[in-house]
Amino acid sequence: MGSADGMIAAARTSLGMSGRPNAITRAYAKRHGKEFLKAPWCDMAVTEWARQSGNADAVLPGGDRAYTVWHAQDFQKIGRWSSGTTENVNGAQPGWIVFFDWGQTNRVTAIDHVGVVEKVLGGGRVQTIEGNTGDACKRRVRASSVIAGFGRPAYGFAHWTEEIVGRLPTLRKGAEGEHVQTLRALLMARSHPEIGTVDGPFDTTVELAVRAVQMWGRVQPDGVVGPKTWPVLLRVH
Amino acid sequence: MSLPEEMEHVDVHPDVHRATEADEEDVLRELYGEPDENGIYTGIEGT
Repeated sequence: MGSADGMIAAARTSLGMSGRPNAITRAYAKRHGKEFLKAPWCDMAVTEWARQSGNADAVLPGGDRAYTVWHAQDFQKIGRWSSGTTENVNGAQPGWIVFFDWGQTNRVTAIDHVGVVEKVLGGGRVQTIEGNTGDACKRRVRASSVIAGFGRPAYGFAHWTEEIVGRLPTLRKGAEGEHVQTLRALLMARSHPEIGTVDGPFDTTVELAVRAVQMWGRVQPDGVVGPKTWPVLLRVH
Repeated sequence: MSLPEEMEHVDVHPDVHRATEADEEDVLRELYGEPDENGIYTGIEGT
């Protein structure tokens, strides 16, 4: 079964590759015709990394791609597309497929380049691995202003955890109810006996424990339990 | 066979091929160390 880590590892093996034909265009051309041997190869790179890492189903929902617009549309069709807003860039995950439009339009039809997210830097920026940037495979730093959006591959294990986390509410101080009980139980299981009991509100004690867990999990220690903190509490981050 | 027409629209913008963040070199050097002889950062984070 593939994974985001596997996808990134495959991309790293291409760092430094340059010129064309190269190993990526040769592999793609072998299946789709020799006219691709010297063609623009950013999306061919994503295609080959996906196939090499066992992630073809997740990363290539419409099959092999060399044309970036169609690849982005493939993700839109299956509901796994996020536009390139600053908020979405900050919430991106390593292994997401990042599409560029350069004109700050976020229009899918304007996309002409693609890469894979290796690291989320914060501040509306990601660090990527891109094929055919200067006719080589390189790491880049890109900001939301040039990102049209992301394809969110349904990577094996990550897929179901993402779905579960997506159903959990964002909790902050003052919250009450069943999900707060779950939170309190998780905090107690994560070595925070000061919580006391499962029953009770999201109070100051809970908030302090949440901040401690966030610091341990290396997420923003804001005391708010959202999409980045639930995985830390559930130990699936 | 000739290349499909849509491929003429891939990797065409100049920004595809250059840094779009002024501090890109600094960020990558901090994460991955010095670049190789071709200026490409191939290192492993934290080493």
